[in-house]
Amino acid sequence: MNRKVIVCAALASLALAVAAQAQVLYTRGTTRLRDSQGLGGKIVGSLAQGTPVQVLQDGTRYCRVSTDGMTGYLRKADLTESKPEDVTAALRGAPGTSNIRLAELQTSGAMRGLSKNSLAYAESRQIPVWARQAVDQMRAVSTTPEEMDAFEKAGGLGDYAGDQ
Amino acid sequence: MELLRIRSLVLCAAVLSATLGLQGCENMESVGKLGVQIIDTAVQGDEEDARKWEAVKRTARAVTGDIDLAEEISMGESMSMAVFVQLGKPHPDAALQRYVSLVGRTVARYSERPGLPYWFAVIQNDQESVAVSLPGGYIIVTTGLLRKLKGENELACILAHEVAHVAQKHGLETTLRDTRFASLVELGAAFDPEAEEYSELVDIAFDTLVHKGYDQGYEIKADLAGTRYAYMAGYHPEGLLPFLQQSVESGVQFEFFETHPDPAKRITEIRKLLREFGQYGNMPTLSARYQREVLEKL
Repeated sequence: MNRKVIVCAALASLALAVAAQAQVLYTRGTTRLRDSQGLGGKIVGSLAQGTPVQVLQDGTRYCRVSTDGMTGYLRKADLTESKPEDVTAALRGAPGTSNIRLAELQTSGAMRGLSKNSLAYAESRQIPVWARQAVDQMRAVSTTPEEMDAFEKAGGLGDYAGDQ
Repeated sequence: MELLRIRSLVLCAAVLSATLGLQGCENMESVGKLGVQIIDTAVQGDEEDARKWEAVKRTARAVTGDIDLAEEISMGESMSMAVFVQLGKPHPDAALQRYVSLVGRTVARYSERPGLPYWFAVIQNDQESVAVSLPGGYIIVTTGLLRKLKGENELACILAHEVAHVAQKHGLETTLRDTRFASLVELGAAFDPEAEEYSELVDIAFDTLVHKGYDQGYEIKADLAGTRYAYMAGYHPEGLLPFLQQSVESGVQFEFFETHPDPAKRITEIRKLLREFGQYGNMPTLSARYQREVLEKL
């Protein structure tokens, strides 16, 4: 009886270990892969939002991961269990957004123009032109990954927050 | 041939629905969602087929009580226009608008839905001190609110609180509770731009989210999630406390509420979470940057 329990426990541990080894996480946003932990590590690649990575070693603040033939370290905070939503398809109907990925949408300010539903709502409720333009302007504010990076660096945030 | 494939898939989904539906509503909802996924997969890349099957999808979604991402974004976009009409015009300083977007997108990256674009705007209105979040990722704050903050971490925590409402779909859940009384077909038709139901849906959602506000349970969830996003982004995570402490005395809060959640209870819950973070005293409040980028421009 005891032997059965031990065997079962061993198998369960093995299964958990295999599952842990095979853990796949996704990048929350554009993320730099480094060859060692911390900002001192050399950048070995740039990963787009939603890139799946296999966790090789789970540390306190950094994970050692592999993806697409590359191996390196990422901050744990930059990884998520669920793949980030791809808004490309959802926004395909908007003018000028066909097959444009999120990063490009934010960079290019291509999110101009209201949806058919919003235009119908604006007509139905006699929304003034300035309010329609206000939403259009709101959607046109673009922030590039480089600009986000510079902003975080200047404030000691994101990738630059870890080594304080 | 392609149409046959789609019909077969939908027929399978329908048979599955009929079978599992006998076991209860919960399964019916799951199967409805599965049906929508099957149709989406089958018509992928074929716009003509996608149009043909849109009505079937709407009916299937009506069964699930679900709203898809495009509809969510569209609803938020429409409601944003109504918010501008109610609260005022955008602040004319493009650099200020960009700065608020940078802070908001910095924290939004650590939310449960980092894939949403998240759009931010500042309205020139010193009389109201409010922040509004709308489905799809539209977040609007007034200059009256910005004037009351002292550091970028306070702005980050407030924007993160609003992001949490979007990322955890508090607005959608609240709205759907209001609209479940409508017939299933009406809900399906509500996203047809030709139908008046769409405008009615936006009006209901606007009244529910902007006038009545979220209930206390959602507020506390958003406080905790928002504080966590800001902390993960690297901000000093006590950013919500100064405004809430003022609220204890003044009663003024940063969102519209029909029934005001108790700020003292919210402070207690946030402090419990902060204890989990350990030492964070050296994390930045970025007060000087906030002074330069916001307060000097208002």
